[in-house]
Order: sequence, then C-alpha cells, then structure tokens
Amino acid sequence: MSSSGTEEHDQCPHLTTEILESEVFLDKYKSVIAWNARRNFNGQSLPKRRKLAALTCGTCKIPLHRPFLCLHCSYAGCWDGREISEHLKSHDHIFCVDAKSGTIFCSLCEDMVHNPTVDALHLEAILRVEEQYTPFQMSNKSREPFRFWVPSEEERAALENMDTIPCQARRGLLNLGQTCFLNVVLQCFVHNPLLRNYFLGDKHNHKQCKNEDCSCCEMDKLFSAVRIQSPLYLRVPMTLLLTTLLHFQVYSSDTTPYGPSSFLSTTWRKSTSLAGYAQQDAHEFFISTLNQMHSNCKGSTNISCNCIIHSTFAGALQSDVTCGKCGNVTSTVDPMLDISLELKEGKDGGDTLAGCLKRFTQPEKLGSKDYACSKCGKSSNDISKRLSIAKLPPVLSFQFKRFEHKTTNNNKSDSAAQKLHAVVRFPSTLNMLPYTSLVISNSGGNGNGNGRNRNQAQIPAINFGPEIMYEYDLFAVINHEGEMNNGHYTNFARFGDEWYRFDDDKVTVSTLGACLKSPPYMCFYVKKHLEYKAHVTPTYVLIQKTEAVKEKERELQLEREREQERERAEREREREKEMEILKEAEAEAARAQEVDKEVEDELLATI
Amino acid sequence: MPVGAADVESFHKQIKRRAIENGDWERLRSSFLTKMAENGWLDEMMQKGKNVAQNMDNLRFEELRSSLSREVHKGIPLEIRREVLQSIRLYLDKQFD
Repeated sequence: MSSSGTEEHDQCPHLTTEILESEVFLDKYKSVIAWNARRNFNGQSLPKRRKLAALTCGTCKIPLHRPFLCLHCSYAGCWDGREISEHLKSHDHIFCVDAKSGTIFCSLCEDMVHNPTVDALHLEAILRVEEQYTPFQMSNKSREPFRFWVPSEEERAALENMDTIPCQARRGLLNLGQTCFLNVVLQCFVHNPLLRNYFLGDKHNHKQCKNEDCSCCEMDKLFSAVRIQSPLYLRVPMTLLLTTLLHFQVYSSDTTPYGPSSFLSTTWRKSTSLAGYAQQDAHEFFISTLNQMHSNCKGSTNISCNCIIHSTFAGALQSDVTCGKCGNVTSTVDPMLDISLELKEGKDGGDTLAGCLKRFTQPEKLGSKDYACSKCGKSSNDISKRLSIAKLPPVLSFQFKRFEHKTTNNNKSDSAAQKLHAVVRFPSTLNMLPYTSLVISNSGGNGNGNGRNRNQAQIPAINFGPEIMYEYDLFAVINHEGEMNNGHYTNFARFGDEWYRFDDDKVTVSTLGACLKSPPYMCFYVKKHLEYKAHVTPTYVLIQKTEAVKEKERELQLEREREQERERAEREREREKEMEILKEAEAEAARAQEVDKEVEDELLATI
Repeated sequence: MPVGAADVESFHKQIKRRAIENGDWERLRSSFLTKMAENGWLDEMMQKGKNVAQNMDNLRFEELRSSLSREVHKGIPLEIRREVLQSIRLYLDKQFD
C-alpha cells in the first residue's frame, strides 16, 4: 500500500495528470467504486438493502459477477472472454476499471496500471460509502470519518530541510547468556508498526525522561540502536572529516549485532522472577514487559488507559453465561492484552489458528454446583459459558499453549512439564469477525453448540460494517525448537513486504512461505485499517491545562500587585523628595531671613 | 425430461442473475475463499505468483494470470472442492423448487 518507489516502476504514460484531474474521469471512477461498495457487505444480505440489478455483459449478455466497466462509456463486460478488451480496442477507448478491486486497465499498455493517485481515490470512495452504512460509525459518532493527512504549512516547511535516513530493522541481537527468549520478543516489538511509529516519532525520548529504571526509555534506546543508522561522518571528529571524505564512501550502516544489556538489567531490577541466566518463557517476558512499559506511562485512569501499550495491545473479552433453565444470559467484559490458545488433543495434526479460535469461542458446560443463575436462582447442569471478543485491539497477539504441566497423583511437586509439539497452521491474513461478540452474541447459538449452520439463509439483523475493520496482517512469529528446558527461540518478522528470520545475532532474508511453515509459539497480527475516536483531550491534560492557566493568572495578579506596590513606593519617594526640597527651601528662606535679621541688628547696633 | 442446450443457457443466465442480485453468489464465493485461506492455499498461491512474476521477462497481468491458472485450479484440495460443490448443489436445488 505504500507509494514509495513509484519512480522505479514504469508508470503508464497514458494516464496523464490531465485525465486524473478531469471531473468526468473522477466522477465515473468514484461512482463505479461506490456502486460496488454498496452492493455487498461481508457476503451477507442487508435487510434494508435496495436490490441492485446485476449488470449484464454488453457482448455476451451473461450476468456479470465480476464486472469491468469502461471509463469512457456505459459498457460493462467480462474479462475472461476478452469482451472488455475487445470493446476498448474497437471503440478506441483506453481505460476500464475492475469494479471489485478498483484496478485500472490500459488498453494501450495492454496491462493493469498502478498509480498512487488512483489508489487514494479508491480508498476514499470506498470509505465514504462504508461509513454511511456502518451503524457504530453513524449512530453515536464514536469514530472519526476518514481523512487523508495533508501537511500544514509549518509541517511542510519543517520537512523541507530534513535529511531522510533509513530506519530498517535488520539488526541481530547478541545472546547474553540464554537470552534468546528476550531477543525474539524484542524483535517482535521492534517490528511492531504502532510501536515503531511511537518511538521513532520521538514520543518517549529517553534523554528527556526523568523516570528511574524506565522500560519505555529502554525501548526507545533499542529502537534508536536497531532502527536508526546514522551516517559515519556524524561520529567522526571534524579534524578527520575532510580526510575521510576524500578517501572513501562516508555512509555506513551499523549492522553489527546489538547487545540489549541495559534492557536486560532493567528487566531484572523490575521483575525479580525473570532475573538470572536461566532460560525463561518468552510469553512471560512479553507480558511482563508490557506491564512494565504501561507503568512507566502517564494517562491511566480508573476507566481506561491511553498509554502506548494499551492503545496498541488492549482488547476486551466478553464472557456470556447462559442458564439452561430460564435462558438468562449474564455477560461480563474483561480487558485482555493477548489471547492464549489451547492446542487440540492428540497428534492428528491439521490444527489451524482458526480452529483454535473456534474452540476458544465455543460454548462450554460449566460445573453446576458452584453457579446459581441470578434470575431464576436455580443451579443446574445446563449452564454454559461462551467467550467472544468484545473489542479488537490494533495489534493482536496469540500464544499457543505448548507448555503443559501434567500433574501426577494430584501431587503438584511431581508435575512433569512437557512441550506439546502439535503442528498448527496459521494464515498471513486473518478475519476476526466470526469470533467477535457482535456475531457470537447474536447468533442465538448460546447453549445450542454447533446447531446452526450459518450458511443456511440466516439474515442477520445487524450490519457488521466493512470487512476490512476485522482484517489483520501477520507481521511477526516466535518459534520454539526443542524441549521444555533445553530449547531455543528464533523468530520471523516482516519489514514492509520482506520477511526475515532472526536467530539471535544472525539475520537472514526469508519468505512468507518459510514463516508460515515454521512451528509457531506466538503470532502477532496488525489491523489492516485503523479507526480513530474523535479527538478529545484527556481529562488529566485538561486539568493540567486549567491549572496552568490558573497558575498564570495568579502570577499575573501577583505581578500586578507588585507593580502597584512599586508605583506606590515610587510615589512615596517622590513625595518625600518634594518634601525635602520644600523643607530645604523653607530652611533656606528661614536662614535667609535670619541673615537678614542679623544684618539689620548689626546695622541698628552701629547707629 | 430432455432439456435442450438453449434451455440450459437460459436457466444459467436466470439463476446467475438471481444469485448475484440476492447476494448468494457472494456468500458462496466468500465461504469458499475463507476455507481456502484457512487451508493455506491462498498464501501458497501468492508466493507462487511472486516467484513466477519475478522470472517473467515481459510482466503483464494477463500473461501472469493465464500461466498460473492451471496450477491454481489443480491446487484446490479435494475436501474443499466437495464441500463447495455440495453447497452449490443445495442452492441450485432450492432454485428449482
């Protein structure tokens, strides 16, 4: 989806800026996309949807399931039988568009053509329609309508004088003594798009933070070390600079492995259970690090937390308990940072992530003795509990429970932990809609188990919105080889479209295929499309602001008072001076009079 | 009762039109695709497509598509093929009620 590198790609010379800006083209293109977007949502019939007539191919008259529309006239045709390309040739029309994907075909280039302007148009057209049809968008306006980012004048000016440097993360991490568990989790953080944006966007600057043992500072240092490669000349003293410039290529990227020792020591100080050089569980370290970073951030209240960790990883799990007797359903919602999945019993393979999720969200009979229904008060055997996801986080983390403790003879000290080696297959893209509370609470299948087959014409009363809201892309996988106590962690991670394999300090180019075949312990997925709440300044910031304003006013008041004080003092002094002068003058006058008197006396005495 | 070729064609058009307009076509298609995605077929085909594209001299859409077409169809697992054909049969039966 990135538009970088389009200079390298051969652009279609026929799709000129003139055409791309013409109203005729824009209107036609957008109306095709909007028409298609309105046609179907998630393959489900909407009760209020107007029945839109299917298009027919202008040539062979068969109804079109995948229409291609000419952008110059009203012709619609099939691709398969070459009807649309024949039409373009015979009518001297150049462009047609695939309604489903928005891709444009140029009959002069005889190929699909790609253009970032068209991509942006496509996205905008789809989102406008989908926003109209999504109930939780329109009803309480809890989501912001989509807008493209356009730099402001200030931003543009700031960007103009910037040097861009690469921020690739293909740097290995040294094993500091059984620390492969740490390295794989750190690599998954480093390749996490939301964390990357946060730390490379300087949102937590370790040079300015005043916290002690701050995990966020450690993360910031890690990002700087691994992702920012500064040109060599910035590290060479000026005196040597000229000679180096003259002799060899100055830019060099530091690809030697990095030793995350300060991260490790901070972790040890804050979480003693993870201290020491024994092999630790990567998942335990993952959760512990999330908690440590959360505790170093501001912004948490009783209701919610908007720290980077919660904004990225926090979702919500809903638990519905149904009483078989009266049908009452009690729902509770709990926060979650990740999902731990049980593996299928037995070695019969064929387990998939979807299968695990299905089992995770299936109804489960509860032990009746402890639970009494709050409505009918009866305790029975017919009580079932069902989990579903009430809120999907931007980054979804899965752990497969491979380390099982099997207690022998009910004696915990005899428990032998063993690793489950079951093969689990997982996809590169994941659609979470079937596991959401929205679908599960409304399927009416609580307690009925797998009774209902959703394929059988069940028209839902709810519009779930556009499919992309539930879709995720895989970006990192943690693998574990070996047994419980003498195993080794490695991981795969994606940078853009490229997949890499990380084995401590060894980083190799790999493929998605290799990653998907590897045995997963943890998988990380990121949402394809983020939604935003309307911007509301958090209360603690508002309070800080009003406090600051009050403080300022108080200071101004004090200043004014001091000013007045000074003025009064000034005037006092002025008056005193005047008094002095008057007194002086009077004294002078008095003395003058004295002198006059004396002279008179003198004169009188001489007579 | 014998059904002529012209009748088949007319039925085909009518049923296809109905399926598209009622959303059934999309429903069947997306359930099929979900099964294929879960099976890993989708990711394998993406990888295959990338490999073929990288080795093509004159990379164009139609050339790429036709060179992959056979392999893609062969790669559909038997189990899924059966399930999908069954769903389609059930749907068609209803159309003729």
